[in-house]
Amino acid sequence: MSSSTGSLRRSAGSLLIVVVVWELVGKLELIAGGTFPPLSAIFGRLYDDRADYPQHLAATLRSAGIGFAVGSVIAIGCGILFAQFKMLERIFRGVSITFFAVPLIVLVPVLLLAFQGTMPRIILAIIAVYFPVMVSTLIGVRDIDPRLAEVIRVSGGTDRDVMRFVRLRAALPAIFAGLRVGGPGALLGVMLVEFGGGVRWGLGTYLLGSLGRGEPARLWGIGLLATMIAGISYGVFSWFGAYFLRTNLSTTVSMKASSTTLDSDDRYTGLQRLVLGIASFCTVLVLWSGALRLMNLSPVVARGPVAVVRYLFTGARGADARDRLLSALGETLPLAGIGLMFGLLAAFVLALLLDLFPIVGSAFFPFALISQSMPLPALTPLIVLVFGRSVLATVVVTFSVTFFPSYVTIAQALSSSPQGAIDVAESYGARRLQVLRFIRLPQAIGSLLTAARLAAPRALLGVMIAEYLATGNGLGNLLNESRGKLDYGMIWTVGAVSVTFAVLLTQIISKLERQIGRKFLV
Amino acid sequence: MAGETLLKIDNVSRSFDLRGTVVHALKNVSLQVPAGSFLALIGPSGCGKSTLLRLLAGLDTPDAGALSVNGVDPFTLRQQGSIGMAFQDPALLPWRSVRKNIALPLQILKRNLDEYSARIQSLIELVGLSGFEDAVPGQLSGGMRQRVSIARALVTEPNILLLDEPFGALDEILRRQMNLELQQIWMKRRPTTVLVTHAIDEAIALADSVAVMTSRPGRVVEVVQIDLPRPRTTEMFRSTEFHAIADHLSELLFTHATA
Ligand SMILES: Nc1ncnc2c1ncn2[C@@H]1O[C@H](COP(=O)(O)OP(=O)(O)O)[C@@H](O)[C@H]1O
Ligand SMILES: [Mg+2]
Repeated sequence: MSSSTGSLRRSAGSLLIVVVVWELVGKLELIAGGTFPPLSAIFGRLYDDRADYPQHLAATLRSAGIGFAVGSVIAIGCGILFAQFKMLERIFRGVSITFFAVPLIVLVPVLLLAFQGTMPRIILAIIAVYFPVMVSTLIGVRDIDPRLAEVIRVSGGTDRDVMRFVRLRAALPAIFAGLRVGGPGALLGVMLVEFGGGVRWGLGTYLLGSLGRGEPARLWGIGLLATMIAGISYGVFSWFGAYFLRTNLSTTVSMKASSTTLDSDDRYTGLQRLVLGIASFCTVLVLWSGALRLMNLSPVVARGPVAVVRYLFTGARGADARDRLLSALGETLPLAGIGLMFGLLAAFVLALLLDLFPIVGSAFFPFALISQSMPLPALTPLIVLVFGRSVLATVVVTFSVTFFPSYVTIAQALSSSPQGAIDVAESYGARRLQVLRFIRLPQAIGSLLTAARLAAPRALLGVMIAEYLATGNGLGNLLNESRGKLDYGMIWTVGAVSVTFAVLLTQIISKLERQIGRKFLV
Repeated sequence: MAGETLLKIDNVSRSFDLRGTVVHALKNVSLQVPAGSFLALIGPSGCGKSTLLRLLAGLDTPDAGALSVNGVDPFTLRQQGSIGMAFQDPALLPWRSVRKNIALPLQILKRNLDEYSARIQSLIELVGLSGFEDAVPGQLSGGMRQRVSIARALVTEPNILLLDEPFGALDEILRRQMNLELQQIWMKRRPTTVLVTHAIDEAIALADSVAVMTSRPGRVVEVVQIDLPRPRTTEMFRSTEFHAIADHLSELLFTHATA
């Protein structure tokens, strides 16, 4: 989609338009009285601040780099193991889904309680990297061209040889597709912990400080820089992925592996599924308690699953805690839902529209691609700056973190629709709108659910970050407040409850997705 | 059953369940040829030729019956690395060069590749791919890829050679050439060979015996012995003997296809 020089030129052209419009809007102070400075002012400020940046940058990049490297190694290792041992994957699925769905910000207070120095940052980066890289590795290693495996077997090779000669190499494009998502993820993790405070150096610290002092140009400078770093890492890994995909020509490895679901449970009976579900749920609880024990924390600070239940239901202040939790949920969940809906709807409509006008679409696509890797912690302060500390800001944050990735998912699904079907339709005289209606639309609806599943946890995270940083509402605020009040029970409870909601939501969506997928396939 | 020097297919059946309907790819197939001989399988497409070859390769197991070569089952044979196979689809590793694709079976058997570079080079010449040693499959035509996969099947000098329509994508002249080369290779070491083919002349040119198969259910209708002397030459293809056999085979194929 972006390889031809024509679309490259269009992208460059639209970049120019963005730059010019931005400059004008900023100069004329068209948006929110100077909170949206012109690019020239942003770069000027970036230059003035040049002495501040190296240390902040170095601190953030160091933690993100270490976290990314360690996280990738763990994730690739797990992906390979899970591909080889299906049962292991199934047992750990609860853990994997938890890592996927957890709004990372709930882990910040917990990590800051448990670890010192740069450890919390590195660990959150590892957690952010784990899921996308693990899943793409798993799928890349598992779904190979079966004929290649037979070539190895018939020559006397074992499963190990199939792994060595085929799977690992065939999985490279998928692994890089995972890594390109993981890079920005690591940056996000590190900056979130930096928001949690306690460190002197780091882009997150710098950003938060500037938000307090209300310095729009500097704030934008930091945001753009963080976005650029994420964009570069995204681009580098995309390039490698594309390179290996080219050399895998006749095999069929999907670059979109990170958006595919895990193995379906169709081959199990209802009872087996129930047992597996319970087992994988228990694995999460066991790991949670086990990790606490390993970290050797005081039971006052570190609450396991039992302690959380006790805090909420049998503790002295249980009723009060439940009230606060419910009212926070009542604020957070509707906003997450609204932002998610709007983001998905806009992505859906725009993807279909731009599919009708491929030239505009191919110019817009690279922007969406870069924007989806924009680190949420960098984005949130900017939106808060422009929209104020309001509910609107929260919705806008949620909208933007769901819109871009959803657009990318849906647009990719549309662009991969079988040309054959369209040719047939067109040879029968179908016009563009009819192609849209009978071929594109069903396809877009299928991918809409995939987009929803991927976006749902991001929506929750978006709302919570906005609440945590700015608006003083909902779960994010409750988390922040509880930190201040050393209300450890509530910190863990908010974490557990928000993970539960995120997991439930993604599970419901993926169930729908599978049912609809089945309907379209058969 | 030691001491047996036979390729033995004993009452083998294999069926597939395709969304409720059962396809009898092979039903009660029995066949015996001496080890070290050359067997050709011929029949309409869908009559179970590839299925039979996969069973012989130990890549699949029969629902009933047994297969063996010299009393050893296919599964063991393949683990020993005694089988060389060229699939109907070349199935090359797309990221490996021609040379490295051919070397793959040697690597799997943990042989020292340095000792084999001469053999690999001569195989490349044999299949007419000199100059393409470092090309990757994406740069080759369909016929060239197929020739790489034939070279790959030969590189370990296997005791059992299984070829599934290996010359299907080649033009007529090249096919004839490759037939003669294959005969040369086979006569040197006499591996037990099973060749699946569509072409009657190819079967007669190469095989000691031709099993004619038919479909629904897949079965062997007759095994025809080819007693022409070796090496068989292009002149023989014009002999009356050759034509008599060809007529017989095509009659078998035709009557069973329309039955
Ligand atoms: N793995 C499989 N799954 C389902 N059906 C199969 C499979 N392999 C072969 N068949 C069916 O078995 C029959 C014989 O196939 P095959 O052995 O490939 O025939 P041939 O090689 O003679 O053309 C065909 O009807 C085919 O559809
Ligand atoms: Mg076949």
